[in-house]
Amino acid sequence: MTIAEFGLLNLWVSGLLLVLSVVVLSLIYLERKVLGRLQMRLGPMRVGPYGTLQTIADAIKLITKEDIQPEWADKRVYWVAPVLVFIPAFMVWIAIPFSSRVVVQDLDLGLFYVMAFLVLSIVGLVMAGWGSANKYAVIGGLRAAGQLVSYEIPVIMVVAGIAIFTQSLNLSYIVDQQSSVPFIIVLPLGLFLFFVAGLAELGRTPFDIYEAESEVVGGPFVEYSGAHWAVFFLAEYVSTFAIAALTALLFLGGWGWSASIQDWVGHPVGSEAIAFFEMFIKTYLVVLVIFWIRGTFPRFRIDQLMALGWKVMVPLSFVFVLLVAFATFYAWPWWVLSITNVLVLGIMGWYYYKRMHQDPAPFSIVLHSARKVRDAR
Amino acid sequence: MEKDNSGSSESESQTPKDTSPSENDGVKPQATSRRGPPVQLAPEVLGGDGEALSLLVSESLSVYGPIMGVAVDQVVVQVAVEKLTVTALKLRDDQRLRFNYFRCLATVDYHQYLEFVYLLYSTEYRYQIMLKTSVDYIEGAAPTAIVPSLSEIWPAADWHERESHDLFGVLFSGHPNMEPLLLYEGFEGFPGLKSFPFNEYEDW
Amino acid sequence: MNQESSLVEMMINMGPQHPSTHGVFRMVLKIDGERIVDVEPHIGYLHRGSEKLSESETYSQVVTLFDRLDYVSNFNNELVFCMAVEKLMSVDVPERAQYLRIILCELNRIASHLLFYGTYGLDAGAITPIMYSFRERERIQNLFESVTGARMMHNFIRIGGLKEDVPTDFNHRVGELLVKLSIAIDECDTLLSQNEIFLSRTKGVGVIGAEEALAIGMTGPPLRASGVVEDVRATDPYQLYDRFDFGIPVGTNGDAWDRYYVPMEEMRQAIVIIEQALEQIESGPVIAQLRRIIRPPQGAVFAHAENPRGDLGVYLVSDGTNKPYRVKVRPPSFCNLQALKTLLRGTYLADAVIILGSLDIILGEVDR
Repeated sequence: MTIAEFGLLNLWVSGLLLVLSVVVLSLIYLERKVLGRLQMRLGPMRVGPYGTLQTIADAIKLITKEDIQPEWADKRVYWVAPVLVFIPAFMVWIAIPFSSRVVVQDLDLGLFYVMAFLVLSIVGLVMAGWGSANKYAVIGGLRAAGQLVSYEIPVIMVVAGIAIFTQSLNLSYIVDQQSSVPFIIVLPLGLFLFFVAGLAELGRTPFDIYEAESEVVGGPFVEYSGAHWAVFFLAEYVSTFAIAALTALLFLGGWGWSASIQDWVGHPVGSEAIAFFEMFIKTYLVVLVIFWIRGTFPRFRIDQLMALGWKVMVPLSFVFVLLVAFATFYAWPWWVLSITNVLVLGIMGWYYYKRMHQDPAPFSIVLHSARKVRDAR
Repeated sequence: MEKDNSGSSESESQTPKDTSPSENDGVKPQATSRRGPPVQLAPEVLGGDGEALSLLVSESLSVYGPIMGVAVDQVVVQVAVEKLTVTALKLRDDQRLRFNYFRCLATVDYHQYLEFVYLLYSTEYRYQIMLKTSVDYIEGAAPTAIVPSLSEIWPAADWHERESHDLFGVLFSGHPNMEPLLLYEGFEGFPGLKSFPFNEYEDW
Repeated sequence: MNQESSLVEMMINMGPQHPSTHGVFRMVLKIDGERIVDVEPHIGYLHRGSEKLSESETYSQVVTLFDRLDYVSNFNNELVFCMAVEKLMSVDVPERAQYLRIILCELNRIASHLLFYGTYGLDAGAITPIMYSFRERERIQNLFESVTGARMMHNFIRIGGLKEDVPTDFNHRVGELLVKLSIAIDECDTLLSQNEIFLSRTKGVGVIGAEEALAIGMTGPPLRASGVVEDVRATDPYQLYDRFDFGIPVGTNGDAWDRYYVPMEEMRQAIVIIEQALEQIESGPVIAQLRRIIRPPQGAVFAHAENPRGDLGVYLVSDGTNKPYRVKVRPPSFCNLQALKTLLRGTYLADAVIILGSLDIILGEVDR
């Protein structure tokens, strides 16, 4: 690699870091506003016009906070943990394209690279929990490890399925494969599995038991304050955005829906801009759905979460891979795959419906008349 | 001798009102007010049901020598402290009474003796009753009194007795866990007692 | 404890400062993995000596102390104490005052249950229900502010009646408020009650049977959720509750979900009571004619009422002066909290918060 190429790479990476930081700022602001609206309130309104500078104020606050280290903490482990959580989250972005030319490195093994690095942050979480010398942190760290490792399997299975279907791990190629029909129609089961398991990977509601505020008060992050905690926070939002971008790339067609507009524009920069804009919109829509789910649902208990992961998600992901493998091997048309996926989803939905409504005594509250109780002496 | 109680105005008249202590509620008559009519006693509005309950209870507990009384609209049974456990058992197990619900234990300090008021309730017949017992005590002694614990008869009595121990220094024999409940560890004295200095201004 | 078990069991302290312990309450849990082996509750962080304090305050001043016992259901607390003194003095409280007391107390019940609903959702992890329920609480507290001048510590129910009459548009405002509250309660119900995740977190969790609940002394909605039909408003009617026809929700399973839903249904029944009271109320005096210095006769009295949290009882001993001789409060949360040991044994650590939340305790009245 020449000096010029190396310099250009540095420029790309720095640019990526800058863009990601701004994106994270906007995501935090968006989350607070969306949650506020869901809860019939306004969200941040005072700092800056409509509260837009709120995140910057929070960042300044976090950086200027006193960084307390517990006395009995294992210093090296305690210090390295946030780094180990943030760096993989950031490294993932090197291979994620936002249009056919807006990507730092268009790796042929892009999908594999992304999955590998997403898994690495688990180590950082466990180290954070262990190194904090706090029982709550240890419990939270172990819970996190258990949850994240279990939910890696469906994610990787779905990714393997897509790799089989498209015969490639290159993300730009996968997007191009969706030019005729996006994978949300071909592989809806895959979208469901990837999205739910992705939520569990991120530690977002309803799967945020390990950092639950009302129980283990922050889980593995309880002893981190100030800038150290800000790194964890940043890492979580970067990963959220990464999962959302992956969903948009793998299932929603990436930048392919505006292909006709891009061809009509013709201009190289202009059409790239349109592609970028489309990817951007799709990713933000997925992120909005993630926030919407956060505002609506309570959280699962750890054993219910694990039961859901191992008893529902893992078998379904195996079924998914089998379906895709058969379809690819026997070269069935794409709509066969689509129908079988919807069928599996339908069977699962029907099964859950039956299970929820089979309660013999559906409503357990009886209303007694006060008059009768009064007179029943 | 009557003591001036609860920090009322110092110029209370010293002539005690000589109404014989009514057996009904065990409240010793205290100094009268400076002006106004003489102290009257609370009304007794025990309806027909209450009187029937009173008869029933006195008949059921006749072996233990109860003193029946009235507290405005509730039946009061007073027994000696030695008979407390057997009385409580009888009240709980007698098929016509069935006091299965323990409401509250109130400890009242009457300067020479402590009075324990157990408020009981029967969910089946909707009877309410006050079970009272008195124990003499000496100020400054700890424990101030020893009373048999009722926590085996009614598990609900557990924390009420612990609280009484905490605030009044009463030892409930047979209680599984006499740890302080409301006061912090290292608190000296029993703040529930009338002799505890409460109203005098103290510099920190 | 042998060597092996001491390696396996861990003591966890859910300390006085914790987002989910509903006040300053400390639980020392002994856990084995994820299962709770034993729990040791520590209370007394909010002990202010209210009972001792009331021996040196006049009867009217003691009413303010009672305001602060269960600080979310102020009217109900004041009512109990005033009832005790009125019983002792054989005061005839005018009917209008009794109707207004009932209306205010039932509105306070709705406000208190809304707070329980919001915080319980927060315990389970849902961050939206609390915003909805607090918005409705704001409406009720606005009404209270127009009547008494304060949002919380009202000191409005006085011995003999009320402090003063309500504003002239009170009936109209309450009628409007009830319409909005019905819609809001249904909304809150839809948001959380049948949510699959909430159901799986609360159904079958922390079960206690009727016999055991009675033996351990539980009261109020947790007792009714275990199947026992005990409501002071029906079994021992006070004020004018025997003129109303309402329903008493009683659960069948005795689990956390039942303990959550009984207050929800009670809110609807409270609206029914208020509607009937608004129809029956007439104009008249709002306080009985009493001497300025309240000096009840000598004696002891016990009065109780149905608070949102259970059966609040007051044992009052008077010696004829203007200050009580002894005031003993029987707080419902105190009695419900005793059941914590039985409820928590053998459950998961994450259920500890759910079960504690379902008991609906307020530390102000546990510690007094």
